[in-house]
Amino acid sequence: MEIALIGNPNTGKTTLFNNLTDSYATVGNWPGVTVNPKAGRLKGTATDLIDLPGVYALTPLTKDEEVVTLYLLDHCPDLILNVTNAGQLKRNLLLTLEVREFGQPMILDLNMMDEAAQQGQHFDLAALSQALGCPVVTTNARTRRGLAQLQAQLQAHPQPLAPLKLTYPPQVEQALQQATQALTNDYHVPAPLARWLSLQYMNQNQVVRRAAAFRNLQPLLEQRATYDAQHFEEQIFNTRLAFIEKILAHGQQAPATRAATTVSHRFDQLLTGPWLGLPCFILIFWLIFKLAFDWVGTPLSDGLDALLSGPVAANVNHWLTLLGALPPLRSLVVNGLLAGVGGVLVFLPQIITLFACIAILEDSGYMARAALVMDRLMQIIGLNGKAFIPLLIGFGCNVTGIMAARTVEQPQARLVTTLLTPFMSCSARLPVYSLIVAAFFPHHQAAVVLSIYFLGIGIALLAAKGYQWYFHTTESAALIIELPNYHRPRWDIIWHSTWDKSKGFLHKAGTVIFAGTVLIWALTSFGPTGFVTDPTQSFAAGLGKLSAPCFAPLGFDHWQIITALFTGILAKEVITASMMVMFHATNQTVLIGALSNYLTPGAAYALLAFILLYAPCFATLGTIKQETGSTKWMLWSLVSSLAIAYLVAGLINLGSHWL
Amino acid sequence: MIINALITLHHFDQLEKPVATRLHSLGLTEGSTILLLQRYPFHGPVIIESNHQRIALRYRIFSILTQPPRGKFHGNRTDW
Repeated sequence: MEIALIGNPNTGKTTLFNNLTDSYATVGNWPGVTVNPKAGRLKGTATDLIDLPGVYALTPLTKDEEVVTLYLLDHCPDLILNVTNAGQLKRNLLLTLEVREFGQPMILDLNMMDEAAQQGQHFDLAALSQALGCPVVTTNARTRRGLAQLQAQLQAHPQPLAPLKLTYPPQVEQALQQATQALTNDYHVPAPLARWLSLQYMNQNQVVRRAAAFRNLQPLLEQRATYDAQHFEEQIFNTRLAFIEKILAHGQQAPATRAATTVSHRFDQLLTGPWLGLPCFILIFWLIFKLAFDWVGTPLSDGLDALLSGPVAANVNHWLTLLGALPPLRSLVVNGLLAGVGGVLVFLPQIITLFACIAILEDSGYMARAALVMDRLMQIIGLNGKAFIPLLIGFGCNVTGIMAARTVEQPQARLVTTLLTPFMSCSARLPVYSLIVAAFFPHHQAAVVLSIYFLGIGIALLAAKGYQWYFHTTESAALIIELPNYHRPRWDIIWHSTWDKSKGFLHKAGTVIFAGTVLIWALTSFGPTGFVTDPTQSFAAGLGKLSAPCFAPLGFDHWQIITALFTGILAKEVITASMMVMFHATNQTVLIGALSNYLTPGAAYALLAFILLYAPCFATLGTIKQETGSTKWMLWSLVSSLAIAYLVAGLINLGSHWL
Repeated sequence: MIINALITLHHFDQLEKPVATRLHSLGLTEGSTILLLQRYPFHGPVIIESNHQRIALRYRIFSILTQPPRGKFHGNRTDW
């Protein structure tokens, strides 16, 4: 048996799903958390529970929202659990009516009853059940109230229900009857489904319209212009709204308090105030950065890195030597495989910390406010406020930034955000910046590094404008965001959300990082003569020597630097270490001395810009592929950033000659 | 426009279809009365409240919805 959870965003649907199933899905007090449907097993049963993305109506406006209509058309679940926010029942029932018209067995769950009670709202459940023709239950998923009764109802065999039949205005009814009859007679569509399809078609549901065109349902296709010209969708909406107002008129009492006096409102006066909103936002994200990259995440990452590259590597090497393994095999295991696993694992503490912080913001309800506070700024580049957070996180680590782009609802805006994030100068690039500024700009180190950060932002703004032009993104991506009430975060939800996202990173991005590490190991360990112990004789060095002339216009055509840049695609932290190997430098001071002999300050600045822009690291590329689900966009990110880096570095080098 | 003022929304027909549809789904329709809770400087977003829910809107959408009704002055508005 299959049960589908359908409801508006912010109805506690995913919290309910997590409580009812053995497995879990990501949850957030923030629209769009359930981006793809998630399946779980109803506790103690063989019943599948499907958590569908939150939608306001079956007429989709975004690609994510199409999932629900497509699911209904393709799967036809045995039972639908329609979860509503009891505090916002009026607008939630708009979706309920559409689902009831679909005709599958349904249970209406009035969730978040505590919010309704706080507002002084009470409902006549019997009247509601009678009017809608389906069972009605009440729950409070966050405090687990009413879940036992709901679970019992879900386990009982669903009773067939007649589809809800509202009386639409005469001209709509007449058109409905004609279309239903034609679809039933000529296309053998069951009458209830034919009526629902016709209604959705008239209501301009693009998924249904595409399906009708695909199946060549002439009775609908022929009347399309008539339906639209007579604004049937408005008449349908008004009829549904009037029906809801009528059925709620009896049960619902006048609210005792206004939301303006609630705790949430008082929080909002501080956190989203016109002048305090931005400082609060900066403070909150500064704390998150400090936690992820300073106080908790990075120390743990460094510790793990030291453990893996120190005692673990030494022990493994020792045991392999004792077992008589040949040097290439030892090198593969220690420098290839172990380094590969380490390359994946060292990201994990930072990622877990960051995701935990984001989960707290999502579950508490602040994330919606953060988007609001940043919206004005993001509007300039054709994105909305929700895109700012991934970009900001990108300064810490591009991988986590791109993962955070999941919170952006519109697919195009999410894609653009994903593609812009690599331009944010991540913390891994800082060591090589420090090295170069120490060598060439000893008296202006901070200013030069800061200028590189701003260069990244500037390029991202220009790229955003380019994508805005390419995708024709207009005001349809405009910010309309529901600000849910604040909740005290629930630790089990935080843990589940964090672990779910981190696990995804390990599974998918991990494989790319691992493969990339082994590839770089192979390139630096083998040369034309076979296995080499001196990396300057390796294929990587050969590649550097071969491509060095291409870098002449940029001012740095020394094969050692080029080879280090190649290895930097693996991870930007590696560039410094690679340069030391290639220049035979025993420490950084020697390397700084060597570099200053090879480059002019202008070329050094061009190199800085090139390192900022030239290519996302393997981990970032893997994450782009994972999040966009497309190799094409991953390759585009690689090629476009390389082209931009070449252009910008070339211009800087050229400019430096004129100065 | 004054904070905490009650404002009646109009001109949904002047909005892009998806924007109007999303507002409808949030329970905002022609003639709905909302409470203006917050405005941001430089024509930033506005926060309104309707039926116990707070919704943030881009200023452009808000300004279209709160234009005076065609041909007459609207009673609830004080700053036109």
